Amino acid sequence: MKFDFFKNMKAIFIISSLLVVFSLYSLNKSGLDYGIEFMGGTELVVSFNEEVKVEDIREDFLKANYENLTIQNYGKKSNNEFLLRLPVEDLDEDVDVQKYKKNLKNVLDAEFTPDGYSVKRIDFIGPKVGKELVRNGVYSIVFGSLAILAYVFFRFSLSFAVASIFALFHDFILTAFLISLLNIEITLSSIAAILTVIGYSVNDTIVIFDRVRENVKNLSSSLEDIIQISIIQTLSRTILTVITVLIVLIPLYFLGGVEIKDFALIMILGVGLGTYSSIFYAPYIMYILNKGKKND
Amino acid sequence: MNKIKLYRYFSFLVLLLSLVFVYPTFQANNLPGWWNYFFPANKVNLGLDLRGGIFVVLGLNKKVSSNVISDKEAAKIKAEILNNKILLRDIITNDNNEIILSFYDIDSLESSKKVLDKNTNYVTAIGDKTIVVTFTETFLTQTKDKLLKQVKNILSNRIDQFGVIESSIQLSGSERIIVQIPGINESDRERILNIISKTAMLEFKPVVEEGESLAVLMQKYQDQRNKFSFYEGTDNNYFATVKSSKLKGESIEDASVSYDEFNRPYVSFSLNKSGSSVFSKLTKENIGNKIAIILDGKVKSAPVVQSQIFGSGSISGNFTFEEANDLAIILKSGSLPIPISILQEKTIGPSLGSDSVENGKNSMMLAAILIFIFMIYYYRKLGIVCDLALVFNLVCIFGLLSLFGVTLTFPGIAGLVLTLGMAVDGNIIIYERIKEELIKGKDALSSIELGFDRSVSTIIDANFTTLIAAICMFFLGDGPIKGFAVTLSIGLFSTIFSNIVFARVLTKYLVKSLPPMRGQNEV
Repeated sequence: MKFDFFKNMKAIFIISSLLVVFSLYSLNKSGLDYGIEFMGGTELVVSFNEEVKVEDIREDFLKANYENLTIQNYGKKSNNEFLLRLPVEDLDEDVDVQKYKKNLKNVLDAEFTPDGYSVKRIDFIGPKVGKELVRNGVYSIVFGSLAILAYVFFRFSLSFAVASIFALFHDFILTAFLISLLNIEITLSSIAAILTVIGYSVNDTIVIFDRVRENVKNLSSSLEDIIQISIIQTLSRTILTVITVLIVLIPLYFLGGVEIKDFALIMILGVGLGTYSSIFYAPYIMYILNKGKKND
Repeated sequence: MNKIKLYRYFSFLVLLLSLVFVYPTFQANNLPGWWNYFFPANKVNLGLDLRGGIFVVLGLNKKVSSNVISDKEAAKIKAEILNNKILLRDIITNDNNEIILSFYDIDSLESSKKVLDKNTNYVTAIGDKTIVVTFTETFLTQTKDKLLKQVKNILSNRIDQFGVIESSIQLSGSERIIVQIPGINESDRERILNIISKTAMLEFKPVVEEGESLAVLMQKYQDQRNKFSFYEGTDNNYFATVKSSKLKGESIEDASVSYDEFNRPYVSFSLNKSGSSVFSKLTKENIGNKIAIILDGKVKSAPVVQSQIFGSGSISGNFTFEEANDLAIILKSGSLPIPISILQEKTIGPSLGSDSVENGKNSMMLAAILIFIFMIYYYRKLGIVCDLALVFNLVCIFGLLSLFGVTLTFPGIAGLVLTLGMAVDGNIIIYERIKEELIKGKDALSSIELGFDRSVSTIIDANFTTLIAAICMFFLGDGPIKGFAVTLSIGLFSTIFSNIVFARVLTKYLVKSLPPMRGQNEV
């Protein structure tokens, strides 16, 4: 045994838990950059035939009193494609979408010839829809976690169930924190990535727990030793799986379009966290929960 | 061994069925005629985020729809009470959607209450010579459902007449309609949104006065506000008209585009029987006067009536052909019983959709090839088994996706990526286990047996835990979360099967001996 997992686990556990608390605090304070799917607002992808500067577009919209506009290059700079975002403040609950869009088009027409650009995508989302999406999303994650808790409790035991939920929570919060650190926008694809990370994390934790369960049955060592043996026995599988996942994600990151890039980045980070928590976090929580009890 | 034999037949059957199910997805246009008699023709569709198109969420305006309901019920109650020869002082609806009936005496109040209480949809409360009527929750939801269904039918009628194929209109929850129209070009999308979102409430009202300023008109008729209505016209003019409208859009039977002598398009319409008689009476009474044709609260035109008109009429105005055509479509399919508003609109240009599909496809292909090579490099013979199992798994997954006619979206693809990741992981779990047994000194065949047997519980538990969460997400989440959950659930089912059953059969028949694997000597 080259590495004594248990010796360091307590310190790692404390550091991880502090990180989770800090992340929660920071997320609460600075929040995430929610895309318009959640906040409501308007998003346009405009593609120009000729080279156009961001400042020109901004000035054009400023003239028409659209002040809170954000403009980004969409994709490669040479594409002359821009992502324009207008926040929800400019919209009422029952705004006339048709009229609103006509206004935006008029603004563009004022500066650019109508044949010189095309609108590749328009998203308009009322504030109400976004709120519902968030609410349903939260419901499904909460109930999904409860279902996992119930299943693991049924198949393993309560301490395993609680520990895997803690690990899930750990990965979820830290992934969200990294997303906010890297200023990645929360869009549908980043939500998909977060869900995938949660799925991966649970899978990873269960694989190790399954080995613990098996060893508890067959070995008469202390729980500490069993956890250590189980982690080491599954270590080669853990490493191989991480390698294969990275083999998939790295091409996605480098070759995929704008949305896929964010997706892959979140996944890469999340998979790292998921692997980490299933080795260092979940087993230790399970150990603490069982410490009081006699090991049978 | 008996179990393996069973597994073999079962795998073969599943593979065959999957191939049959997946066929329509790739050969949708070349399905032979007899196919439908024996096999499902469902296929996997690409979501709008992948192929481009319009996605619109329409919602009832809560307040307006409640108003519509209470106004309608108030009219019913009034008729009912008058029918029973009860003296009614007044009946009004207020902003809280309560209907308030007031009476001169207690007797009429009590007999009215008896009449009202017969209707189980009403909740009545008695005040000082007044009865306040509200509605039960079930009645309100049922009525709204009914209205929403009507709206849905009218909308699909309108979209069909516009000539779009493969559009989908669904009710979502109790007050939403989701309209999805794939692959539409830029010039058509504004028109179709226009067609969808118009209430198309058409009214005919005699004009009392036309003027250039709304304020002046309103000032003039201030004393009789409740007898007149005021409207904006199309070229900076305003109208004062009679308040009540005798003829509404429901009476229109057909509408089409015609051209006047200057080749300008206009919309001509014909009326049904009851509409005709009302219209002829209205025009007879107003010869020499103007009649305003009001569409969604705006005067479209106000022609002078030359003579009595019977079954048909026309709406002119500076239309382009497209505008006239769209108006005819809207009038023909009827007005919406309640106004709706666009809550969400997503338009994805087809080029953007296909860009992301191309990008995604290429990177996925590359990733798949790398995984295939890695598995063979690392596990040799077993790697080949793993790769075949992955192909088998993919065929099964797409077979099931086709069978259920799933629409594949970006989050859906994410679900597939996770599934395939877990499938590879499952194989790794098994092979590492086999390796452990080999290291312990067991021979190849029994190592394989033990490796599979011992991995079954791991694979089932790991996949099931995720599957259960996915099923939760499917029922509770919507939009992206649902799309993710569908492919993930289907994928996990197939993965469990291909890892535990198919890979085992393949290993049994392909692998008779095992050369030392990578990593075997290092541990």
